[in-house]
Amino acid sequence: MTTDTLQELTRRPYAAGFVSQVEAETFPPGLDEDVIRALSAKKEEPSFLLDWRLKAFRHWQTMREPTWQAVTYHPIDYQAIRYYSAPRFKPKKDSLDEVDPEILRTYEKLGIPLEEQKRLQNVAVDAVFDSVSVATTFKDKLAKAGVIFCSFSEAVREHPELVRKYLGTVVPHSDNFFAALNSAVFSDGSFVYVPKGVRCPMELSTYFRINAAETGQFERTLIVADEGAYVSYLEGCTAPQRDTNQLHAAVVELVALPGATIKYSTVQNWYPGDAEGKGGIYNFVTKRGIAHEKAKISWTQVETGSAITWKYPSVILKGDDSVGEFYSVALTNNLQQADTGTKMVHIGKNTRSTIVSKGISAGRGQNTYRGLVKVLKSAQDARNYTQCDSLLLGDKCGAHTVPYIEVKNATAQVEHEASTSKIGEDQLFYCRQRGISQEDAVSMIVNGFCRQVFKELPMEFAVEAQKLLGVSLEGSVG
Amino acid sequence: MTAGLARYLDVASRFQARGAASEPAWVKRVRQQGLAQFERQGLPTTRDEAWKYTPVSPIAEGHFAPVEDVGDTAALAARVEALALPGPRWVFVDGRFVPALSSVEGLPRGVTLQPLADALRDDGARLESELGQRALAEAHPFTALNAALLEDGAVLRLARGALSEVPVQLLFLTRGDAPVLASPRVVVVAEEGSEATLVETYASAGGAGPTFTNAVTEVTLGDNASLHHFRLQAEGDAALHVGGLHVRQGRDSRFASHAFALGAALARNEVHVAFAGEGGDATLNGLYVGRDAQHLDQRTALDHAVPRCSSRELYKGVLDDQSRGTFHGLVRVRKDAQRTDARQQNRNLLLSEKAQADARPQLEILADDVKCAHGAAVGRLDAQALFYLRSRGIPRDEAERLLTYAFARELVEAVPAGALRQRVEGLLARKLPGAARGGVTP
Repeated sequence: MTTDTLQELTRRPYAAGFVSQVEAETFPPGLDEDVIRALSAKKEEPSFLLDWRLKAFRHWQTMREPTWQAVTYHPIDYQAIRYYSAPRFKPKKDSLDEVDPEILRTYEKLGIPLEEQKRLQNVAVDAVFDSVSVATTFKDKLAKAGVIFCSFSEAVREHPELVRKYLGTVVPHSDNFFAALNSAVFSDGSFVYVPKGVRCPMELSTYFRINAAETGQFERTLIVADEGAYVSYLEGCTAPQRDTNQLHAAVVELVALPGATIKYSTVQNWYPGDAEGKGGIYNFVTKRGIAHEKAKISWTQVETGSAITWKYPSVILKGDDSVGEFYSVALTNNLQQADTGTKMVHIGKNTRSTIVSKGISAGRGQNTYRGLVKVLKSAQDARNYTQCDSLLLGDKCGAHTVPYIEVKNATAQVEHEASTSKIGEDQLFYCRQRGISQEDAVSMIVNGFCRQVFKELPMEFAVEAQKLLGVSLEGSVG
Repeated sequence: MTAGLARYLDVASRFQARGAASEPAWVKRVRQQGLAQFERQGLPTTRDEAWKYTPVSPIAEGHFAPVEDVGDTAALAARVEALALPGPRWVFVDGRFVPALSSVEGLPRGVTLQPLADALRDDGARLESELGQRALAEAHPFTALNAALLEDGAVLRLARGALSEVPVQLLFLTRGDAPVLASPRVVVVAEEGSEATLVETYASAGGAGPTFTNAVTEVTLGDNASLHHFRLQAEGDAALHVGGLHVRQGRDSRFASHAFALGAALARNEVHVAFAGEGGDATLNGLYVGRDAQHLDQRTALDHAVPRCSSRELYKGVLDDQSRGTFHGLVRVRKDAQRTDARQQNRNLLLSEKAQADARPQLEILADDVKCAHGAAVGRLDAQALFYLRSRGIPRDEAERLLTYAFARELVEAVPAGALRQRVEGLLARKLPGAARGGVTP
C-alpha cells in the first residue's frame, strides 16, 4: 500500500469529538480535604463513605506516581483538575423526560439513544456524563428480577449496606496511586447487584462521557453477583476532542460469589489525541475481580482510544475451581501508548485462567502487553494458558511483551506464547487478487487477527468494535 | 547506605590502596570509576526490576574480601586434573592466575592467551581501549564491583583467520577455607574470520565455607568471527556466584553460548549480546538444575540493533526440593533492525511440591518487518508419559528419572560430542537424579 493511502486512512477524524453545550456545575480546580468534604456533602453521603474517602486521600498523599510502565507523558498537575462537574438539572429524576435534552442529544449522536433503548434493544443503559450518572434505563424490568442496577450515588443512598459491605474489598483504598486517588474523589459510576441464583435478564451497559474541560473523570463501578448469579456488563467511553490532556482514573470492582459468573466487556474509545499527540485522555484504570468457589470472571476489552492506556483487569482466583479469562484487543495509532494486560492470581485448587491478548501498533504507537500469572502454593492443579500476539503496521511503531510468570506449585501447568509479525505481503496479494481493495483486505486481516477476542463480545458490541477498529487504523500498512 | 554496601566499599577501597605505585594510571582509573559506579548503584534489592526475584542478601551480608596471596596450591593439582579436559588450560585459584597448575601447550598459531595481570602492565595501550567496553560499569552494580577489584583474569586474542580446534579452558577454583571474593575478568578479542571455543569452568576446592565469585567476561567478535562459549558453573553448596558475559558481534559473526548453572547456593548468570553488524547469528542455550535450597537466576538480553540478524534462545530449568529457578530474557529489536528473526523459549520442570519457577520472557520490538516469538512454560512431568513407561514395567522412580533426563538432554546434545560433552554429562550426573542413579548415560 502506498504511504499516501496509509496516511489518509490513519488520519480519519475522531467521530465522537464534539462538545455538548450543557450547563454544568463544577468545583474550582484543586484538591484537598475540603474538596472531598464538599463533594461528599454534595452527594449527601453517609459518614462511613466520607471517612473512607479521607482515609484514601491521606494515603494517596504519601504515595508516588508509578514509573514502571512503558509510557511517557507530561506530568499531571493534580491541583489543576476539577474534581466535580455535573450537568445542572433537578437532582433527583424519575424519568428520562427530566434529563437535559442536550445530554440526550449527545448520547443520540454517539449512537446510544436512551429513549429508544426502552423499546428497541434488550440492553439496560446507565449513562454517566462527566462525573455523574444522568440516566438509567430499564429499571423496572430489572427490579422485577431483583437486580439492582443504578448509579453509584443512588446505591449509596438506597443500598448503603451493600455498598459498605463490598466497597474496597477487591481494590482497597490503598491499592495503587490512581486507585487511591479514585477512592478519595470518585464522583459516580455504576452499581450492580444480582441476587442469588438470578440470571440477569438483559445485558447491562454503562456509557461514560467526559464533556467538560479541565475535569477528570473518576468513576467507580461495583458489581456483585451473588451465589449462582449471572450478569453480563458492557461499558463504552468517549470524550470531546481537546488540545489538553484529561485524566480518567476509574476503579472497577467485581465480586463473584460462589458459582456466579460475571462477564465484563469494555469498548474504550476515549479521545486519543491528534496525529501530533496533542490532547487525548490519560486513562489510568484499576480493574479487578475476585472469584469465589466455582465462580467465573471474564474480562473482554477493546482498547482503541486514549492517549495513554494503563490498565490491567485482573482476577483473583480465590475459590477452588474458579475461572478467570482475559480477552483483549489494544490498538495504538499515531502517538498513542498502551500499557495493558492482566493479572491472574491462582489461590484456589483447580483454578483455570486463559489470557488472549492481541496488540496492534500503527503510526508511532507503542503497545505493551504486561501480564502476571501467579500460582501460589495453595493452588493445586492450577492451569493457565496465555497467548499474546502483536501486529505491527508500519516501521515507526513498537510492540512489547512483558509477561511475568511465578509458579510456586509443582502441579501447575502454565504456558505462555507470544509472537510478533506484520501483515504478510502474500496475504494481501491473495485478497487483492480476488478483487478485494487494499483497505478492505487490511481490515479483514486485522479483524481476523482479533477474531478470538471479538467473538467474546456481546453481539451489539462486537459490531461496534469491528467498526471502531476499522476507523482507527484502516490502511496503516506500509 | 546499607551495612553491606559500606562493607564492600571498604573492602574495595582497601584493595585499591594496596595497589603497587608502578601500576599504569589507566588501570587505577578503571578501578576508581568502578568503585564510584558501584557506590552510586549500590547493592540491588528486590525492588529493582532486574532483581525482582533474586534477593542478594547472602551477598550483602557476607564478609567477603579478595585474597592477598594465593599461597600454596600444590594440593589442588588432583582437583584440576579431575575437572580439566585435555589441552591448554589456565587455572585460577581464588581469582588469581596460578601458572604452576596451568598449561598452555597446544595453543595454535594466532591464538594468544595472557594473564590479565600481565596484560594490564604490558599491553596498556591496546587493552585500555578494550577493557570495560562491552561490560559497562555504569550499567550493572556487580560489573562495577568487578571493575573496582580489577586484578587478574585472562586476555584471549585470536588473530585474523586464526582457528583453534582445541578448546581454550579457563578453570576458576575458589577455596571455601576463607570467605574469598574472586573477581576474575576475561577479555576476548576475536579478529575477522577467527574461530575458537572457550570453556569457563567454575568450581570449588578445599573447605566448604562460603565464597563469592563475581566474574565478568567481555567478548568482541570481528566480522565473520565465530566463538563457542561454554560456561560450566558447578561451585559448592555454600558458594555465591554472579557471572556476566557481554558480547558484541560484528558482521556475519556467529556466537553460541552454552550456560550450565548447576552449583552454588545463589547464582546469577547473565548473558548480554549486542549485534553491531548485519547478518550476525547468536544461539543462547542454558540449563539450570536446582535442588535443596538453591536459587538459580538466569538473565539474558539480546540487542538486535542492526538488520538481518537472527537469534535462537533455549533455556530449561529442572527444579527439585525447595530450589527456585528464575529466567528473565529480553529481546530488543531496534527501530532499523528489519528482518530480525528472534526466537526464545523457556521451559521449567518442577520436580517437587516446594520448587518454584519464575519466568519473564520479554520482547521489545520497534521494527515491523520482523519475526519474533517467545514461549514460556512451567509444569511437571507428563502424567501420560509416566503412565506409558510404568505400564511397560519401569518403576515410577526410574520412569521419572528417565523423563527428567530426557527433558535436559536437548541442551546436552547441543554440546559437540567428545570430551567436553562427557564433562558436561559428568557434572550433570551429580545433579540430575536420572543420570546419577539410573545409569541412563550412554
